[in-house]
Amino acid sequence: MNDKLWRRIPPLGMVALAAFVVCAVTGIMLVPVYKPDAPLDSLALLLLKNPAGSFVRSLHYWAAQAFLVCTLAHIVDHLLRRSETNVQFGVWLRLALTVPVVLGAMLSGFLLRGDTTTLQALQVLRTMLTLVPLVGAGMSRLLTGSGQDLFTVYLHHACTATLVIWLVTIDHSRRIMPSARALWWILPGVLLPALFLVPALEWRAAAVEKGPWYLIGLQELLHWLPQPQLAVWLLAAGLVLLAVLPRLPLTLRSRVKWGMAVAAFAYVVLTIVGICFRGQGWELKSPLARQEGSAQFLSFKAYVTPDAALVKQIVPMVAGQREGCLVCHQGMTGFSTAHETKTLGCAACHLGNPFTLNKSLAHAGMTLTPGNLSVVNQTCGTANCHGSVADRVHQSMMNTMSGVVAVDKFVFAESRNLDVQFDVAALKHSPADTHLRTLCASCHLGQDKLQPGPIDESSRGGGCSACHLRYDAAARSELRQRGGKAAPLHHPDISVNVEEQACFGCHSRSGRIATSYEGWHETLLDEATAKTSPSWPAQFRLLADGRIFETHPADVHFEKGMKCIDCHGSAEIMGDGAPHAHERNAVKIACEDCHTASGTPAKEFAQLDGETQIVISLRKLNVPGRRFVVSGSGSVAYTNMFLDADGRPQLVLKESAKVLTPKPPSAACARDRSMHPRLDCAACHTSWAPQCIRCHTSFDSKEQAWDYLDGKFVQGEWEEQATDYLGDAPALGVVSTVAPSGKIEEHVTTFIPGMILNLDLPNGDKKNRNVFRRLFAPASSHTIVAHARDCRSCHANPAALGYGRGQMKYATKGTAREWQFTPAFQRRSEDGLQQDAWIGFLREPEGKTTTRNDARPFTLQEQQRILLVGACLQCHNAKEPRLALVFSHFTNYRNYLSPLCRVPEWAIH
Amino acid sequence: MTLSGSNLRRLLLKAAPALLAAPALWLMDALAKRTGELPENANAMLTIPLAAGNGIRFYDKAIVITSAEGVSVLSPTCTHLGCRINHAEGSQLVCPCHGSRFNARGEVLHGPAGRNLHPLRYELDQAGAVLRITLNSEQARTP
Repeated sequence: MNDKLWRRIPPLGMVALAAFVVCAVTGIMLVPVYKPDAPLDSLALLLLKNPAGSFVRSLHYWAAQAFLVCTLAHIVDHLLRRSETNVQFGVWLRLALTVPVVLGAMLSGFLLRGDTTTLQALQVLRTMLTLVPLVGAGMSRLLTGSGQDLFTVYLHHACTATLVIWLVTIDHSRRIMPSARALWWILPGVLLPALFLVPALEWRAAAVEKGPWYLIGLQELLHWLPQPQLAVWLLAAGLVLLAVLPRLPLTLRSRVKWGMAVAAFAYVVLTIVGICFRGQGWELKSPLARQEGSAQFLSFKAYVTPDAALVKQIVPMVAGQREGCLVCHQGMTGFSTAHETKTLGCAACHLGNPFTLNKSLAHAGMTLTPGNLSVVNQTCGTANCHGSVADRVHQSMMNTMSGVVAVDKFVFAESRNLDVQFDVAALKHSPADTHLRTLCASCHLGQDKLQPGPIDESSRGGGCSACHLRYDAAARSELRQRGGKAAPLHHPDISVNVEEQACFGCHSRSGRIATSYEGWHETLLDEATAKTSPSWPAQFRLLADGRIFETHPADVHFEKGMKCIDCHGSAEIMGDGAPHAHERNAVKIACEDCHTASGTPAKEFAQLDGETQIVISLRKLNVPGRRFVVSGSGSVAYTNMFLDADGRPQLVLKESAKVLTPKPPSAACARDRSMHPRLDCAACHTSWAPQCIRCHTSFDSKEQAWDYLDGKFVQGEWEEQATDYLGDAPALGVVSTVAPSGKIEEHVTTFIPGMILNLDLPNGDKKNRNVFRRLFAPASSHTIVAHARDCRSCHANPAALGYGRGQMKYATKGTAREWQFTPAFQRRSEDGLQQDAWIGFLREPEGKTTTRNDARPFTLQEQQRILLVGACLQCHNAKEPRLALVFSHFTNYRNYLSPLCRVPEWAIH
Repeated sequence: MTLSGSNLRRLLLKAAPALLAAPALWLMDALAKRTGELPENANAMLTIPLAAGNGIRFYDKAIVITSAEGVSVLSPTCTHLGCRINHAEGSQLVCPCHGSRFNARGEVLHGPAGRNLHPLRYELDQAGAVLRITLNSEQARTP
């Protein structure tokens, strides 16, 4: 460097002294405005309303940082120059003992913020001081006081440390004040950052609390030390070595300095790890990941409040803290009691910065939709609100879409195991992944809701808001008037009652349960064609996405006024905290919970879990002595169903508060169940299910498609074409479940095609490979009717057995005694089955036939038993009392059959 | 070297601070202990409603865990270096300062803390449906 320029730079010690003086002067200026008995409030008011005060505080902060850095550099400089032998030992000793005083002055300044982070640091400091042998307790009390009172810390910061540092500076430098040149060097160095990096305040407890930057290395070290006393001894050892350095022989002195250099380097590494690689719970994280907590610094805008009138208004207190948001957003209505602004303020949900009246700073880091899962751990899911619920939602299938991904990857031959846990957010870019990304991935709770507005058919994602956000008429009107550009005066509510539209959008896709439930079956018509129908519009419904639906029998529960949430509770929808492979595994309710003859399990209020108790209380259903129905699995209680005085279940509809008394199973049902112990209620009571029996999925590399996960267009488009979309009775098959006792139980239930599909698989540079997939899936179509299907509709119906649609008749002419089947659709060359079939007619199913490892079609033996009954029903009436007896003991009775009986051959051999 | 008058005086002057340091430190320690025993610093009470139901709830000076088995009240002060535990991940209580983890009974799951959280004394008032917690009543517990 130019020698002349080098000589112009004042010595580091002088620059440090200049920084110290700036610090002292600005500290004195802050005395009238800083209140040690209300530290956070006094500093918050500076940020909110006192730009001059904020600037002085910022200058004080940066001068202190400059003082620390220059002091440390000064020490290093003199150690390198071996100056320790150039001063009297007494002077050196006092200098060495002042090092902890300097750090103490810095740390006490940090503590005087009085926010949640610094209060944690205060506790750590007290504990570490008490670890000093013999005098620790006394030192802690002397230096830090007790409780949350910061007066002692304030006194030592403003007086003790300042005096000691100043006196020791005079002692070794013989200077009272810095040179003018040093002041000119330091002033720009602190003025510029003071103007543009205003130190902020932490306004809420964070899941990770980080101390001041110069002590984060120590914080990282303490993470690794189970005995924090070791840190105290290390620090003490370092101080002692520094103090006795001049008295050491030269060789040893050099080694000690090298040791200090290595320790300093290690400390820098620990500091970098602590600052960049530590997140929530002091767990390791990527430095690129979103930072926890508020911003540490505010920009120059902290000094600018565009609207002078705002500054004259009182800033309200919410939960003991200033909430600047409420100065602008006054008088907001629309909330339920638990979420009112006087209880929560705004920032608790929407984040941002409540300690400023500058609009852009106040809104920096704000979230429009606090319920989005990307921010929920800081909003709805904080410890004091709904922490445990947010954890469950992250793992629930409504977020992960685990089953959807597993089946899709299986179909694409990218996975062999249908029960592997997947997360849609972790999809990469394989063919199955891109298929899901561009066609399916919008329907998971983790998708962020980016625009204000009510949940409707087109809504996707939004985390907690996807279900709990409710716009009443006033909120909708406000939205229309303001266009979503300004904060509303009438805020949408966060409600425990989930509207039907919240479910409809996503669940009108895939299995179409939302539309089927309401009595709508999807057609392949376009709007123009549908409108030419004489039944338009009475028999049709046009959805927002252009799909046309036609009327079909609605679910009986829908007709009774029940909504989705009247059956499905939080343990299913928000998850129970356990990973589940498929949706069926996550369902906890059963028909028998409501439709039971007697002995319904129930619990008193006090026996229920906390969440259920709160929801029951919110619904005002907590009457003393009332017993709430528990699911048969025992794992969940209904918040809206209890037993009346006669022990009958009473179901209270959550939206309308209407009370229904679910009917017990009919006598016919009870009778038939004894012959069909495996039968699911849905097997008999499902009236129809939407079934796509012919699809083609192709990939066009020249087109573009929207990637729902990345939020951008990508090259290559998956196209799905369906040609036959039927709405009639589903097939039946067998699902295995594990009962609470641990025993494996089989249930006969409804199945529909998961896919009967031609799939064009991308094949690298070669032409796409066409594969055929025929897999059925167990499905709850939500088309329950009160009147069950008759016996022949299963026992003599090819579609029910999985053979597909067509004519099946029992031939008995001459010596014939066999079932004959004429399919309605042509056979596929790929597997020899007819288009809509699941299995071959009276054949043992082969290969993989379902999208589940615990589900299957009927075996040949089961088909034969079913069709044996069907054969008998050709002549006999199903209601004949003898029939049940014969079927249940057929092995015996077949030896006594009438010669007129023409049972199939396999039944008598 | 003989101890002449001036040398002795100098020696005494130099030794005085060191000689006075020990009693000064003792005085400081006694002052601190005595302050801690003053009735003004005795136990305070925290009263919370029982109707809050089951789950883990965080207060400034207590963590209340209610479950089907009953109620337990723990000090939120991490046994590592005294930070206030302010959040849970599932059923684990996590310290935000150095990452120590405890289960719902306050037992250490993961360090650097080496001791379990201290339980606090409390009184269950069923009639008034409140829980009265005696703060600063950390009970001794086998780590």
